[in-house]
Amino acid sequence: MVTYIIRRVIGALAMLLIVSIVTFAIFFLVPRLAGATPEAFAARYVGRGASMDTIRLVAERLGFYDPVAVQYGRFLKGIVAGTEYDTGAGVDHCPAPCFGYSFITQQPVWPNLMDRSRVTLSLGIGAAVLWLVGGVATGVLSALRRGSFFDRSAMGIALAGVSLPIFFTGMISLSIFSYGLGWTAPGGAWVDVTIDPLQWAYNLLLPWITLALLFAATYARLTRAGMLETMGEDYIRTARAKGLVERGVVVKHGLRAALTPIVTVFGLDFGLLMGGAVLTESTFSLNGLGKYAVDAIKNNDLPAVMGVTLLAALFVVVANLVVDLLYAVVDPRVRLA
Amino acid sequence: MTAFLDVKDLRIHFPTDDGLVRSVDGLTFSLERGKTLGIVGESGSGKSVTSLGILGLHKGGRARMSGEIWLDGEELIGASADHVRRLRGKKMAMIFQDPLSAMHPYYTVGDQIIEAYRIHHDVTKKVARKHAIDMLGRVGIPEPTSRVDDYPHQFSGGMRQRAMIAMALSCDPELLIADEPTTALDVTVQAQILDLMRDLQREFNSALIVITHDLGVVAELSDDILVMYGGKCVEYGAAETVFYDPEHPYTWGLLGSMPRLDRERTERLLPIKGSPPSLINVPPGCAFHPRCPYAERTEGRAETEVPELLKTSPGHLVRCHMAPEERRRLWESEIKPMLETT
Amino acid sequence: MSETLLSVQDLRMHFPIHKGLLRRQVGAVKAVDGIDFEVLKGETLGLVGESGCGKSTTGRLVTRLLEPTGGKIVFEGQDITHMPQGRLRPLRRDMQMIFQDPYSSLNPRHTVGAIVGAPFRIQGIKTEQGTKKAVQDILELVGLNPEHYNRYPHEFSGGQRQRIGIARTLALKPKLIIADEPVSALDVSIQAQVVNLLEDLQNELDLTYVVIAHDLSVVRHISDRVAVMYLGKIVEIADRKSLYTSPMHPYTNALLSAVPVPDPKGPRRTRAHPAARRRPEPDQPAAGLPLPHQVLEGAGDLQDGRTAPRAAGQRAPRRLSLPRERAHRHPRARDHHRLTVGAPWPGWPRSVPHSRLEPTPATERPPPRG
Repeated sequence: MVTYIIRRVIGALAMLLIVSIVTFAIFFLVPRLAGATPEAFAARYVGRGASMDTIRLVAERLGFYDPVAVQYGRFLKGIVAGTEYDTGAGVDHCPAPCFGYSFITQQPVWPNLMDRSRVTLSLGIGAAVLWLVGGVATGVLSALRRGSFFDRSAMGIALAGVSLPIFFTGMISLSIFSYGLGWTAPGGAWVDVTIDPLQWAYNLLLPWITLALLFAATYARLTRAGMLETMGEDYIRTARAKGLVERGVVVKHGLRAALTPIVTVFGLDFGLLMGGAVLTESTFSLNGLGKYAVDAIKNNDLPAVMGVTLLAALFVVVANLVVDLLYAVVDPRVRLA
Repeated sequence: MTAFLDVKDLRIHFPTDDGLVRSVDGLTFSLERGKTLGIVGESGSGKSVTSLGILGLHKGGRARMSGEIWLDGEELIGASADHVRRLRGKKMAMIFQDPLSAMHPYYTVGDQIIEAYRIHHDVTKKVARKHAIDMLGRVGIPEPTSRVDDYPHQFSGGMRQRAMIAMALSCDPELLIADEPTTALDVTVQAQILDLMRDLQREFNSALIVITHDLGVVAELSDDILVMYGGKCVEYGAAETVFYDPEHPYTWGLLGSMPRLDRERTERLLPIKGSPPSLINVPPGCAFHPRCPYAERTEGRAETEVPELLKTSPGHLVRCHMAPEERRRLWESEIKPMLETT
Repeated sequence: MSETLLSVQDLRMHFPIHKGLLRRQVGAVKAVDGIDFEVLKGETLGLVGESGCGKSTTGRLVTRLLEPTGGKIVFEGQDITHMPQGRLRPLRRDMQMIFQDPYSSLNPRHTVGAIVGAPFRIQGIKTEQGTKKAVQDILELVGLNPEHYNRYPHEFSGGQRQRIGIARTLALKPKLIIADEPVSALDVSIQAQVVNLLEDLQNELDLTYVVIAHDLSVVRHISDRVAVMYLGKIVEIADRKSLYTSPMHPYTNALLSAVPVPDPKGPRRTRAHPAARRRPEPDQPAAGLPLPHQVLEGAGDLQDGRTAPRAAGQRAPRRLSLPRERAHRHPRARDHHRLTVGAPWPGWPRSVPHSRLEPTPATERPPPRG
């Protein structure tokens, strides 16, 4: 078990390293190969109207004249150990996970990312609770009453939920519930949970529901299929033959087994979501990682893009790792070796 | 005075899109405490459906059941589903064929026995656990105190079946149904399980129904034998009668199909032609007639008329159009010599 | 004496076990651990044993579906042990395999004609009257209606599907057929049909069989010679009659005495043999000697786990060796259907240890009542 975890962690780190190399290459090597000069990179920092000399000075200071490999090494070192930047006027220290400074805001990327991920995390966790509860419950009921009116309508709604894009459902619900009826908070409303938990939940209610609807649909279908399969298993018959009440049979024996694949999918979904619920955040004007990524890309803000990409990769890799470990907990037959 | 278990004209039908599946179609038998009934048949003969029906596991499903099942003076088909559920596991229990799939993979063996015990006994987990360890010891699992926390997949096939038996016996049931209890096991392990079942039955004095297609297992355990074909009983009698004086051509066919180690090797096996019938489309008349080598001796009745299950000698019932004398003559002069030729 | 068709020498199949951070190989599951046997032209060799003994792996090795770890396989005088698949292809015509499960071994999307005709296509063989006619002839040969050429497998019963499987192997007139549990998934009455069919085909087409099965009575019925496997080794190999009437190895003895007797008043099966009781569980971590010492009465020199030939069989040496290693449990083992029965029969030698059976000739059976 311990060796398995160590091996998996090493693998995860290697994966992150590869992701960082690839993204770095895309943003720094490819433009160079395409003919961009070091000055072109530096020009983004100093803004328009700077003299060529200033640009050269900045390029020199930020090391844009070095070979790309050296630049990558420096970038990596920044993440692991932090970097000192010579601003000309003095030395700026950028502590450990240092992704550099945003071209646009001139602020270090990492604290910004941390700020933004609070929003995304709030959005993700709330929605996840809703979609798990709603999706699994619907799926179980549908499976137990296969072919009934409930099953058919639930599966119909699920199909709609899967197929409708979030910006569509998001916009519609915003215009009805927030701007029309005034039941929910308008787009862009955000209070940190530590300041006012109630307001936090109230603000996020509509994004949660919209996002959860999308995922709940998938989970309802998944649970339904899983339950239909497990309820036909021999051990279900055994549980009934013991004289267990039907609810116990369904929950303790059926659902327990049907949940295993859902745990897997859930881990991966959640990891991906943490990388940025781009559409949801844009629709509800929430300043999360997704919106940060979109803005960074729009502005060609390379350090910010690098940072958000690596953070998203980290979430996915960690989610994968957690899912694999969780699998062994959920299913005792899985031996990690 | 009725028997401990009395099944009368049991019918279990399943409506499907393709038509009505008559899995069990008028089955009658009885069984006393301490006795064993062997139900023999091929796939689709309705033998497993019968056992699930007695346990009331078709209740609430699509099955249509009729007839009477009397267990210790109580009728079960008309009883409420919840009442039958309370009897299930306590008064009557079941051992399934494949212990690997019949035990939940996510719970320890102990947990599953504890669950079975606590459904019917209002005791603490600790008491139930002690009982589970005790049961595991009684079915011959070494070191039950530590094995109780193992998962089913950590047990070998034979040990798993022992654990399954421990679970079924945990509430001291008076009726035990074993559905192909040794089919999934190796022959040496099968021998141990058969020994165990015999010993435990003696100890618990329960009524035992063994459902199998293996005539060796039946011969070893049963007092009475019921041969099923196409959802109906075709021959029913004491074990010796069915093995030494069988009167139904299907029983003859089963005996001829089986290579035997306890006799000289026969040059050829004597199979039954054709395949077992589909229960949706049971042949009209005698269900066995398309495969029966003697069907033409019934002057066409085999194709049109369902034969009655009639007494041919005390305690021996046969469902066949042929006259009893003719059947006995065929058995003595043709079939028996053929089975015993070297 | 007829010539040798297949000869297997010291065949081994070890599946490596990897452990630790660096996935170093720490050991191996010795599924097949040094077995020798020969198959003569026209005979049937039965390979019998319990789940995990390596009998199915042996079948897969001989047909080269698995690459052996060691040893030698000689088919018709040609060493095929490590022959590359390309050169093996023409040999596949001569060596075919029948599988246990008639449900999963036939492609449900192909018609019977396509399934049985596939070997012709794959081997690029043109027949005089065309493939269709050839296929229909084969269907008739195995007792299927040639009109069913265009039907799909799901339209057939289990027994008929097994016939389709057999027809497929016969398409190219093979010399050797390896049948892995050919009847164990079938109903008793159907089992007998297929056993008879296999025997008829052998006579008609001069086939040679290796039949792998767990059912001792089916193996006795069908085989000329029988090899008993235990934990990856052949513990006893002899002609049918002497193996079944006077088994020399305690394990063979244990196996035979474990089979229930289909005779309510007949000789009772002995209570589970001590050998059976002590049988190591292949999936249990701790396993000592495969058989306890007391079973090896008169064979006290055998506990070192190496070969110690004692009585010589008719053609091949009997082995009383007992391996220390554990065999792996075959993943499909639980799907096997134990079908029939049998037991020590007449002529069971009294000298066999732990056999409490009395010889009961069939003729001395209690007379039928009435």
